[in-house]
Parts: sequence; C-alpha cells; structure tokens
Amino acid sequence: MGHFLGTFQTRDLDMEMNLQPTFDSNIGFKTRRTQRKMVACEEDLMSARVPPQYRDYCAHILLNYLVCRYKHMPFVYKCAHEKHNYMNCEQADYVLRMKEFEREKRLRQREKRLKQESNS
Amino acid sequence: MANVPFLGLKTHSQKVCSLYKRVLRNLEAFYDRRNVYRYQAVLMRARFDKNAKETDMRKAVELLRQGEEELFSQIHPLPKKFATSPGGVAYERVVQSPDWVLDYWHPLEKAQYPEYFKKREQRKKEFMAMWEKEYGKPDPKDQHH
Amino acid sequence: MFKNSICFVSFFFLFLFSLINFFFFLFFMIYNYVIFLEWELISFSSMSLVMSILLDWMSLLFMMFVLLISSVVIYYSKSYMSSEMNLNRFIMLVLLFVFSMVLLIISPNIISILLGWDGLGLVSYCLVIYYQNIKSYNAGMLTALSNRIGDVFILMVIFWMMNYGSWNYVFYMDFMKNDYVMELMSIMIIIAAMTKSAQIPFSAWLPAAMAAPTPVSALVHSSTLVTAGVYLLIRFNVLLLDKFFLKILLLLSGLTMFMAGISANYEFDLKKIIALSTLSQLGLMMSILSMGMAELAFFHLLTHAMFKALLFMCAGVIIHMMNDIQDIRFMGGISNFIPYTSLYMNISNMALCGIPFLAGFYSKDLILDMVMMKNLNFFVFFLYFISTGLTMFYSFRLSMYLMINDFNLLSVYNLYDEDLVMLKSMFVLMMMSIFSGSMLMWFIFSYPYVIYLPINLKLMVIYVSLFGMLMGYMISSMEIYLMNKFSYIYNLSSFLCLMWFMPNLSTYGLNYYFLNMGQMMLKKIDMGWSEFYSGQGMFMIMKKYTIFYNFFQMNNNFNIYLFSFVLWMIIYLMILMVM
Repeated sequence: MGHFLGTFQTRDLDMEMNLQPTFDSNIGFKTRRTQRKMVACEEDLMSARVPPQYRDYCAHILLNYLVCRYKHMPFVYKCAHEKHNYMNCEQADYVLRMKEFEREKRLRQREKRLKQESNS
Repeated sequence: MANVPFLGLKTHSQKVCSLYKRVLRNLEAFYDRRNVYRYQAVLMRARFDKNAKETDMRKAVELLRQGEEELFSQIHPLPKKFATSPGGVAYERVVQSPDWVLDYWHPLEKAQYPEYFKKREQRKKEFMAMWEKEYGKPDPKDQHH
Repeated sequence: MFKNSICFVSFFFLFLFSLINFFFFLFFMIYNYVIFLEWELISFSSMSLVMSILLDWMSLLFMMFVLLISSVVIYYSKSYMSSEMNLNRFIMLVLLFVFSMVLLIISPNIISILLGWDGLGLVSYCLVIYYQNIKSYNAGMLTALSNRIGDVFILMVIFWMMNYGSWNYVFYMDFMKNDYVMELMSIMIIIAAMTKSAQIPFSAWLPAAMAAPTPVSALVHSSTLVTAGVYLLIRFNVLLLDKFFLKILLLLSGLTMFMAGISANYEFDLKKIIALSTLSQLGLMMSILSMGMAELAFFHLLTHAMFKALLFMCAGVIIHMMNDIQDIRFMGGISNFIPYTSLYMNISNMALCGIPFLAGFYSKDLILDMVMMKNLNFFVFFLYFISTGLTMFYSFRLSMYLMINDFNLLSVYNLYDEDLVMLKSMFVLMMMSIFSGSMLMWFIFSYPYVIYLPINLKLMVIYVSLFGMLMGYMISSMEIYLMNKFSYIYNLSSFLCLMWFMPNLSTYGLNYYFLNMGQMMLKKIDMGWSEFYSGQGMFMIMKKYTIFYNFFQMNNNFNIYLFSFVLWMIIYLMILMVM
C-alpha cells in the first residue's frame, strides 16, 4: 500500500522500490563521499553461520547479539540491549537508503525539469 | 383423538396453530433477548388474532397460505434448536440400548451381575404370566421375537 | 479410580516428553543443530528400507507444543468425558492421533509424511464420529472425503518423486527446485496442504467437524490437525518461492480469512464460531506462507495453537455445564456463575484478537507489519485488515453474548464452574497463552525482523481492532429491528451466514454427486442391469437353453434327434445341389 500511495505523484519517474542509484554519488556534495566499510569480517560471519541476507553493514552488531544469545541461552531477554543496538543500526541503515532514494527521485525530477526548460 | 394425525390430515385450526408455533420459534431465533422477543411475539399474536374469527373458509385458507409464504421467506438460516431434540447438536448422542439386548449377553457377562439377572428372570416370568392372562397364549406359528 | 488412571498416565508421559522436547529445543537452538537419523529397518541384498527422522529446532518446538496441548487435553477429558463408558477407547484414539502427528512432524521423507498424514485423516474421522448420531456421521464423511483429496495429492507427489530416485526430499530439494517436475510437485503439495488446512474450496469440513467431542476439537481441529498443512508447507518452503500458484494461494487464503471472519459473525453455534475463527487464523498463516515468510507462519501457528486450544476448552466447560447446549442464544450472563472459566475465555479471546502483550499480539502484529512492508495491492491489503477487524468483531460479539447479555437459559438451572481437573488443565494453557508469545519471540528469532513504517500504518492494527470492537458491541446489542434488517437483505445474509454456500458448492455438492453416482451405479448397474444381463441374466439364458437341449438329448427323444438329423442332412444336400 505504501508503494501505491508513495509513488502516486511520481509515476512518471519510473521509480522501483529496490532501485539502485543511477547518478554519480558525488553530485551536489561539497565533500567527497566514500564507500561504506564493512566492519564484520567474512570469517566471523561464516563461523557464526549467519545467512547471506543478514551480512549487511550492521552485521558486527548482529554478531554481538548472537554471542549474547549464545551466552545466556534460556534467558534470552537479557540480550535486550544488544537487540536494541542492532535494531537502531538497521534503522539508521534504512534511513540512509531512504535518503538515497529521495536523492535519486529529486535528481530525476531535476533532470526532467532541465530537459523541459532546454526544450522550451 | 383430536391431536392424533389421521393419515396425515390436519384440520385447518391445527395448521394455523402449527404455523403460529413455527412463527414463534422463528422469532425466537431472531430476537435472543427475552423482552424483545416477548414484544415481537405479542405483535405476532395480534396479527393472528385479527383474523381468528374469519368464517369464510376460502379467505382463511388464502390467509394461511400467505402466512406460510411469509414464514418461508423469513426463516432463519440457523434456527435455534434445543440440543437434545431433533435437529439439535446432541440429538441421539446418548443412545439408550433396548431392553432385550440384556437377554443376549454372554452367560459369563451375566454372571458378573448375578442378583440383577436373577431378579430379571423372575420379572420376565411375571410379565409372561401377566401377558398370557390378558391376551392368551401366543400363537406357536408366530416365531417373531 | 482405575478407570481414569489412563488419563493421568498419558498426561504424565506426554507432559514429560513435552518438557524434554523443550530442553532439546533450547539446545538445538543454541548450537544451530540439525540431526538427521536414518534407521535401517531391513537391508536385503541391494534394497534397504530406511526410516529417516529429522530433528531440528522447528520440529522439536512444534512437538513440544503438540505434546503439551495433548497432555493437557487428555487431563481435561478425564473430567469432560467422565460419563463416557469407553474412556480407554477415547484416550487411545487421542494418543494415536498424537503419535501420527509426531510422525508427520519428524519425518523428512514423503512416505513417512504420508503415513502420518493418513493417520491424521483416519483418526480424525474416528474422533469426529465418536458420538454416533447422524450428524456426526455426515460430518465425519465430509471430513474424511475432503482430506482424502489431500492424501491423493500426496500420493501423486510420491509418484513424481520416483523421478529423483529418493523419497527423502530434503537431500535434493535445494538443487532441483527449478526443475519443471518440482513445480508440479509444489502445486500438488500446496493443494494437499489446502485440504488439510481447510482453505477455500475445501473449507466446509472444519465447521462440520465440530460434531466431535470438545476435547477432540481442542486438540485436533484447532491446533494440530489443521496446522499439519501449514507445517507441510513450511517444510517445503524452499519450493515455494516465485511460483505463480502462490499468488492464487495468497488470494484463496486471504478470501478464506475474510469469509471465515464474516461467517463467524453470523454463526450462533459456540463451537462453530471458534472453528470459523480457527479457519480465519489458518488463512492468515497460509497467506503469510505464500509470501515466503515461513518463520512467521510457524510463530503464529504455535501461539495460535495455545490460545485456540484454551478457547475450545472453555467452550467445552460451558457446553458441559449447559447440558450440551451449544447455541449462544441460550447463553448470557454466565460470567456470574463461572468466573474462572470466563476469565480464561476472556484471556484467550483477547490473545486471539491481538491485545498487546498477550500471545496473539506478537505473532499477528509482526505478520501484519510484514504484510504492510510488502508490495501488495489494495485488495490483499484490505483483506488482511478487514479480517483483523473481523477477528475483534466476532470475539467481542461472542464475549458479549456469553458473558454480558441477559441470562437467557431455561428457567431451572444449576450453573457452576466445573471441577478442579478442568480448571487446572486450563490454567496451564492460560499461562502459555499469556507468555508464549513473548517467549517465542525471544527464542525463535535469532535474526530479528526490523520494521520501518509510518506511525499511522503501524497503528492501523489498533485502529481496525477498535473499530471491530465497536462493531461487535453494536451487533450484539442489535435487537429491535434485527429481523426487518435481516429480511431486507435476506439473500445476502444467508449467503454470508452459510459460509458463502461453500459447503453446498464444494463439499456437499461435489460429494453428493459422486456418492449419488456411486449408489446409482451400485443399484442400477452393479446390482441392476449388468447383473440382469450379464451375471444372473446369462445364467438364466444358459439354464433355459440347457434345459431345452436336454429335452432333445437326454429325455429318450431319440426319434426327434434322428428326425432333426435327417432334416439337417436334407437341407444340406439341397444347398449342395443348388450350388
């Protein structure tokens, strides 16, 4: 439903929900943006048997949570702090992706506007 | 003998009474609060009473037909049935086996309740004596048990 | 004393196994273990017959829940079935049922799944017809025939699996999942699961199966048998990604949810209302499964098993107390007479509706949030949310009818809470239906689901629940003009009331024609024409002609024989002369 309502005004831009950014990552920025660093190393993730879809930029916090679960297994609620950390990290990640999406949308709108102005 | 149905024939008043009862049951299925149901039942009674003194038989039959039609068009899809009466959920749930089943018990089974069966034999003899006194000896050709 | 000891013994062992399973579940969960046992029954030259058993955290947890519910139900039926003559037979049937369910749970092999599956179907038939009246027989036949469709589909899956040379599907399912044959198999598995979980074309049997005794309904038709289909799909969920048929399943299960919710509002039979709410929750599980989130479906399956079993057991107490009356129009104001049972009933009802921090809240809220985060169209979205509102709607209506409305039973009554046996057994489930939601939420999600939603969408569940509550209050106090309103939309009402005529369309209708055809064939063909012409008729003709020829041959009619011989010779000669 969010998809339906959220794209109501921007149908002409042809935006998909899982869109990769198509513009150069430094357009409109004064400072240079660098690529994010993956903190958790691959060997740790493999030894913890984390499924591939969870190996994202928050994986090191996820590993903390998993270690905590392993330590206090029957009383998992003691890991509420670690879980909250992980959730916060994921949320920040999602906000970042939302911002990228919004940037993509505005850049596309700008490109369209520029094209119209040059035509007229 | 008025209530015994003779060959499925019913008098007109019986039909009306049956309709009235079914209508009330239908109302009961719709209105589950007692006070509301009573109010509706009184209204329905008034509708029946209005035509109670109808002497023209043709008109009365026509009214009955209309009543049946109205009931049919308004009957509740899930009627309220008492649990142990026909149509209810627990109808025939507990089966009472007939008395003669006891006679076909195995002697070993019977031996578990010696006093009851001793008394039962006694009772059977008394019953047969009573039967023969009243209706005479059974026909020996009639071997139906 | 001795008569009821079987209840206690079975209760004790099942409860013990349930606890053991729980500890094993914890162990397997920590170390992320999967144990695959192969038990060789027979080995004969190159052929070996192997019984394989799969133990992972999913099967152990589900076994724990099944055993816990069944132990409690058996303990409960000591009191509920106390007037039953053959209590042993009843308990044996329930135990058989539990064992076939466990066999289904632990088997990674399609053959042993079929064994468990057929065992479930057969024993549930025996349990539905436990009260031997016409209504039970009809319901049992309906149940058995509907489930038989699923059995046949599983059999066909077995035949298709011959292509791969092994029935242990776990070995090759990951590798062969894009195979064309695997797609066919996934469709068959889905149809089989739909029959067992009573999704839309086959949904008529679940309300009809309420003819069973109430402990059976609590165990079989709420938490274990009907979730067997969901569990099967969870096991096969590798197959269930990106199939077109899944979209159909999504639509059907969403419609099931909606249809069951609507019909529960029109229904007046206490057990049928609860059965329809089970149907609605099953639709929820199947639809979330068809989006590929098997863990969520499993989570909802477990919490739902707890509070639905409790709800059925409360209904059992009420029915027992009211002398087998099940119609909620006879009830009302009973919370004054049975405070404890009303307490349990309210808790389980609230857990069902998803009141925060009870069991149902965790699973249902998570499922609905995930639904909102998916790219779904409006139709599916509204099916979900209207059904959630309807859950609140019928639960509130049920509570109002049972506990708050005027007392409505016969004028002579004696109502009381049942004995301590029933209350104790319900207490276990009550604690579980309060705590199991948050407990499982902590235990089974090693990787937590992260949900990003606007506040209004997040609160949508609460909005629809409140709206449903208001509607439930309104409909339960709708008195004066009810009949006028009902007859104003009589056709629509009876359409919604009788489950969209689903029983008549799919099950009664279908079964009627085939059963009728079978009987007609038996009467007209097997015992009629074919007997007349082939069996008995041929015999009669033979006999007649044999007697006729005997007349010539045996009965000293030598002259006739000679005469006919001479006559034939003359004819023969004449033919020769002509030629």
